[in-house]
Amino acid sequence: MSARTNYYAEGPEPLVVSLAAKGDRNAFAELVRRRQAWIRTLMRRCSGDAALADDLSQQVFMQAWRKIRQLKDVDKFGSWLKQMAINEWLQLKRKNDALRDAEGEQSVIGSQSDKTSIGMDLDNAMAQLPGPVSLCIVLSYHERMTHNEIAELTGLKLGTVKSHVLRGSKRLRELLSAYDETQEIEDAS
Amino acid sequence: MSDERDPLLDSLFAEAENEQTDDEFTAKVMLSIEKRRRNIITGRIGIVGLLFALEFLLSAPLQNSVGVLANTLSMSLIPIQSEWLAAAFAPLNSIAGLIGMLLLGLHTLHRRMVR
Repeated sequence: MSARTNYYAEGPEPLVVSLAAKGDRNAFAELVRRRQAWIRTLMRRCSGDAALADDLSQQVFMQAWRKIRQLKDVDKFGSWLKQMAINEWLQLKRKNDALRDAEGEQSVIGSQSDKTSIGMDLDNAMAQLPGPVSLCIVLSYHERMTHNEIAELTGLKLGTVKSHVLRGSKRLRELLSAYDETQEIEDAS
Repeated sequence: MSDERDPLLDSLFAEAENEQTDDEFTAKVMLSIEKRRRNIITGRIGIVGLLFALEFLLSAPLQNSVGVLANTLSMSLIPIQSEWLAAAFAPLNSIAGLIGMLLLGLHTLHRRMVR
């Protein structure tokens, strides 16, 4: 079993994807192992909630297993999976935005220096942005995608993407202003 | 606006902690996939079982109903003594023929009204 596991772990991704597409569960488990950190972080940045992010990621992988036979180009597994994750997120937002908007806003955000605290503050701040805005921000800052690529992936108009990124950045800066002050102090010293 | 990013947010996103690979998560996903597969198999077995049960329960009444319906539809409207004449006029001289002509008439009427 371990030799077999090593075989999957060492195999190039297109080969592992091909095997998974033929119904090989071990190959798919390897794909989950390889891609889960990325998808879970993407979902966490979008949702601002680690538990919800894990649930969504699980849904994404289950959907990927159901549809992997339809994937024509095994080299595009990553972007195919990302598209699926974005769709999952948009679907959830469509259901939940009305509820969340009614909850009102919270104020957060301290200025911490360790990675965990920055991540948590970022998650809290992101959770206060409307769905499509937070998605555009995550794709722009976390995934390093251009506005054109975001528009293509999400199906939003380019102008809308630009406006979401601008609006979201502005709001995030306000929410994370404590970090701005910390940076200014660091720069001064 | 170009694709420029805010430097502060850029650095925060870069510094924020990312999720790590977690074998438990992989196991959870694979377990859910297995559960779903079992549910699908159970569902299919259930449907096949249900079809068999329906076949067993309803085959006799259904066959009877079909027989009665066939007899009723082929019943002659006007009794004809000659066997070959009765066979030749059967498509018209039967309840089925009457229903057919009624439907044809309604269809023609509908087309005229629509035009």
